[in-house]
Amino acid sequence: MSEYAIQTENIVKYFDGRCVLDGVDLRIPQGGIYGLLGRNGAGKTTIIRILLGLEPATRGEANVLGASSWQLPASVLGQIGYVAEGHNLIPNYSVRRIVELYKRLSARWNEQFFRRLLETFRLPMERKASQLSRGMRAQLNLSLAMATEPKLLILDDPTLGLDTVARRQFLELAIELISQNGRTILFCSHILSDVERLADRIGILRAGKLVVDCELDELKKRVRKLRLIFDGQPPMEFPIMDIIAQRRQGREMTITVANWNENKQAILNIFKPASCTEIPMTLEEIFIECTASGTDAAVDYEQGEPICSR
Amino acid sequence: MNKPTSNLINIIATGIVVTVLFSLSLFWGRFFFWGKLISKLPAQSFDVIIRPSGLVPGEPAPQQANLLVQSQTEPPGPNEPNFRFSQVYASRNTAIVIGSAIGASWDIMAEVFPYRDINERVYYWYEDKNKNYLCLDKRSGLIIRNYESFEPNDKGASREAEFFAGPNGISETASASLGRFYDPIVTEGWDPNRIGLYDKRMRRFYVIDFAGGSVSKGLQLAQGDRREPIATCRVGGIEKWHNNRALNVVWDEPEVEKGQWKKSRLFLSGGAQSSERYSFIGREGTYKYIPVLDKTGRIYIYNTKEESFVQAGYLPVPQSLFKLGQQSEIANPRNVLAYEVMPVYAILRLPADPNKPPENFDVKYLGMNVACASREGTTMAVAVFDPNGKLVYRGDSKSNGISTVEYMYSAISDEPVVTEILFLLENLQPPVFEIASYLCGDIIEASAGHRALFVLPNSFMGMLGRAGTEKFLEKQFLALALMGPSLILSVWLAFRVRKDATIVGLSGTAKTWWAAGTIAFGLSAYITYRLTRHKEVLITCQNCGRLRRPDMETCHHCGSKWEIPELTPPNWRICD
Amino acid sequence: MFTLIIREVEDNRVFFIAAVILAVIFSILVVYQQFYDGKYESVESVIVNFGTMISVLLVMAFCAMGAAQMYWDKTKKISALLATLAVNRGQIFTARVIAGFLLVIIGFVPIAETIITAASRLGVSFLPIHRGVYFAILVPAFVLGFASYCIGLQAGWTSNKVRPTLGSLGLSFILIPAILIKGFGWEIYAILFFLIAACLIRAWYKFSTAAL
Repeated sequence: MSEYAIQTENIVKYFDGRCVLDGVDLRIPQGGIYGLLGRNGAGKTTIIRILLGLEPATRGEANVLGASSWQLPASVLGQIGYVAEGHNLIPNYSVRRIVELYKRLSARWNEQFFRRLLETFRLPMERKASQLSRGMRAQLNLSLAMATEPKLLILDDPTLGLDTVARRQFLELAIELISQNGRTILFCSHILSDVERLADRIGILRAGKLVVDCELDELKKRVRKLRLIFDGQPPMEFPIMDIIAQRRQGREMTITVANWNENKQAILNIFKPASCTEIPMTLEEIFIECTASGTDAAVDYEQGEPICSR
Repeated sequence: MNKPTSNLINIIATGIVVTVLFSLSLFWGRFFFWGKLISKLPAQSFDVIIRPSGLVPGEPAPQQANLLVQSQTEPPGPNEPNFRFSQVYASRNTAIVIGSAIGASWDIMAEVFPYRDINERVYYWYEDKNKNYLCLDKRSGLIIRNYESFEPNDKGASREAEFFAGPNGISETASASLGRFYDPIVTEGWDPNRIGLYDKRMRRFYVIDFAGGSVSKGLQLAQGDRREPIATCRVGGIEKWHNNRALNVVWDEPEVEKGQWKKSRLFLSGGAQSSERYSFIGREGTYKYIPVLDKTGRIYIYNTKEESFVQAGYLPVPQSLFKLGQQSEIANPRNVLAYEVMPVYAILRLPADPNKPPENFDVKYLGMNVACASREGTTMAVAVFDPNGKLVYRGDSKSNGISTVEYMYSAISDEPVVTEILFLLENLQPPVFEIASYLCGDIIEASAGHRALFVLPNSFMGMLGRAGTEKFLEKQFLALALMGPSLILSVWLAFRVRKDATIVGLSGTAKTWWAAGTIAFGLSAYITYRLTRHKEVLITCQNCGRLRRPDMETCHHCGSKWEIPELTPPNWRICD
Repeated sequence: MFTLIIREVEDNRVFFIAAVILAVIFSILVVYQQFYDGKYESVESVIVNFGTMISVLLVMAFCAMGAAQMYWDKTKKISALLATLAVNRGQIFTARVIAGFLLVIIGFVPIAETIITAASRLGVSFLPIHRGVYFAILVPAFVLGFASYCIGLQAGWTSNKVRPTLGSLGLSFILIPAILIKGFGWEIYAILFFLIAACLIRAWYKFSTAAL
């Protein structure tokens, strides 16, 4: 068995002539929680649908639990739980009928766990899916996905439509699930606080590419936001690679740099800023910096002693 | 299954669906316009009258079909006003001809005629399923005649009699000693108590007389004999039920009308009235003569008394639309829509006392009339043969003085467009089917040809293919001309397909196959291509400016890799 | 697989009910005519006229069901849900086709049995028609019904409401008279079996390569 639950190679996807994914290489190791982030239209749902075989990739290969995603056998599909964005359920089916369908078609079914979830969410069994509120659909979808005890759980914006209390309940359930060894979770959400709480690894999609793919702690270490104050005018260009963002205001300059290391520190020190303060960032702030559009300062060389030390 | 193979299977499957549904649609279009042409033929097109028939000794020879020698103007015999010569009257039933096209569902009745039942009995004559029938029991190989006894028993009730006949005799019980028939031809007869049959496996003729209680073994054809009978006794119609009455041939004996009375007269040369009196019949029940049709279209008369088997005629080839040299005179039974053989006999009665009825009689074979409807059902040929098998006269159906088929396709003045539409509809067929119709339309049996969907033996190309081969070059040029619209359409469509295939980035091999396939299969192939072509939206290549496929790594025009200007990812990456 | 088949039958129960109703109507008409009149000609007239009409309606209904199955799948994203469970597209498609086959059986078998029974009871005294003749007529009609269903499967995979409706009706109108042209012999079998295989391959290809 591969060490990766999900592995993609150069996934490219076009929709009606518009490129959405431009060569995405995604590797999600077994047994972790991967938070896949991106702005609206970045391609998160597209990549998930490609992984589940619901959408063919224009180019590239994807494997899920060792099988090609476009031809997933039933045995592998039985190990995957999926909560779709928008909570796709057959509209004219009653809740009871949908539950029966899941029970019969799933490889595994934890009736006790499901009953508990139903009691928690208090879902009306006889009501048609089209008549459920968005929140109820989300709860039902979640319950169904979790009751199948999947080896790989894919959650595409699962808390969309849930109120605060329901969201908290979901998070607790997710934590309970995480505690069971060997499960892998791919988690997409716009509520980054939730992601920050749960995820081990983070991936961020931007302009069709996976620009961030590392552990959460590592990400926080490697992305630095510095506020620099100069005696005179700040320099127009910093010869530092991987500048995510930079802003100038008078003698003050704020730069966000990726892959911070000693070399970059040394280059910074050359410019002798009067003050160099690191601004700690949450995942949300890192996400905003990484996905906001703006100029990148690309520098081809590094030289000199660190100009700022902590 | 990898993608190219599954796509190829999909293309073939789509092609089959398109071809079948398209052919079905075209069939109805052709049927509609062809029916319009047939319905416009004048009434005279369906009859051929030959008078005098040329079969009665002493009558003048037939001169021209449908030109009747009026007895009123030329009384043949002395002091015989109101006399009419013998005549052959052949007519073709148009409704049945059209029914060949859409009457195939009635062929199920072939399951019933000759009747078959679950006990594997083949019924040749039938009045009641429990009594009064004539059948072959396939299990025992015996012919069974069941009827109510003609003489009731003492108590006034009739006795049911059942007789079993085999090659070795007749018995009231089925017995192995009777032998068995294996593959008999017993044409639907008119006298269920006496039948003549030919067993194909034993290659021998038999006459079974249930009334007389005897089975006569007749002539056996030698093993290497090429003659292969396919019909005996009553030779008419073809196997399919619905075509049994496509032709009607009636032979009328010479007669005099005196008020309501008719009498027949024999003419000897010189016109002297004979002391002999003859009755003329088309079928005779003594089985002295049995007409036999073989699979090449030759007709023989088997004389059961003399055990002679001589050729007495043949199926005449009806006229065709294209006359390109010598064709065989003899029509293959599979290549005519219907045929009817009407032998003529004279029963010679020798009265000992003119005032008393004759006590004995002899049957004399006078010749035969044979009518054939062409494959397309539009023309009919009638041939008259003398007792020696020599052709006496041949007449063909005509419309306003010209051959019916020519008239139908060229001269129906108020429907000039219909022939052209029919021609164009035929040209919508795939060229490869047209060529097949030209080369081997004959393979399809005549009635099946009316129902053909793919290879069309009754199309213009099919008719040309069956024309003579003397003017070979002219025939080929004419074939090309007939196929012209189809070829032009196919080549144009192939050009379009190839152009589009280049745009969507198909490989050179695939483009060649598609172009060749479109030339071969025409509009069907083009529709198939449109249904199966790659449907991904094409992207303008940043390098060469032409449209390229997004599912290919490099541009299939210039080979450049992808550049996506609308996506501007940052230069930095934060990855493990 | 059984669950998937039951699901298809339940989702398309209106077609199954319609087929049963048509079959029952036909049976009632034949039985009524037999007991009320009992004459061969009258019963034959009911069998031939109504039998033909009901058969044509049934064949069109089969085509409509094939189209409806695919259309509703596409619009309600049924397979998009099912394909995330422990079933693959092949199983979903196979269950769909089996359900269609069951519909054809449910539609045709009662009619066939009614015809055979009525004819046998009448005695059909002047012709020794055996059961084989009825099978020779009814089996091609059954195969034609299934072929019509397969054509509907192809026409239905679209979000456009009009296309599957008109397309399936039009194609079934073209297909049904094939019996008139080719009769009940080997020719109609050859054409229909090739057509069925081709339609199923095409429908499967479309379904297996489409985005759900």
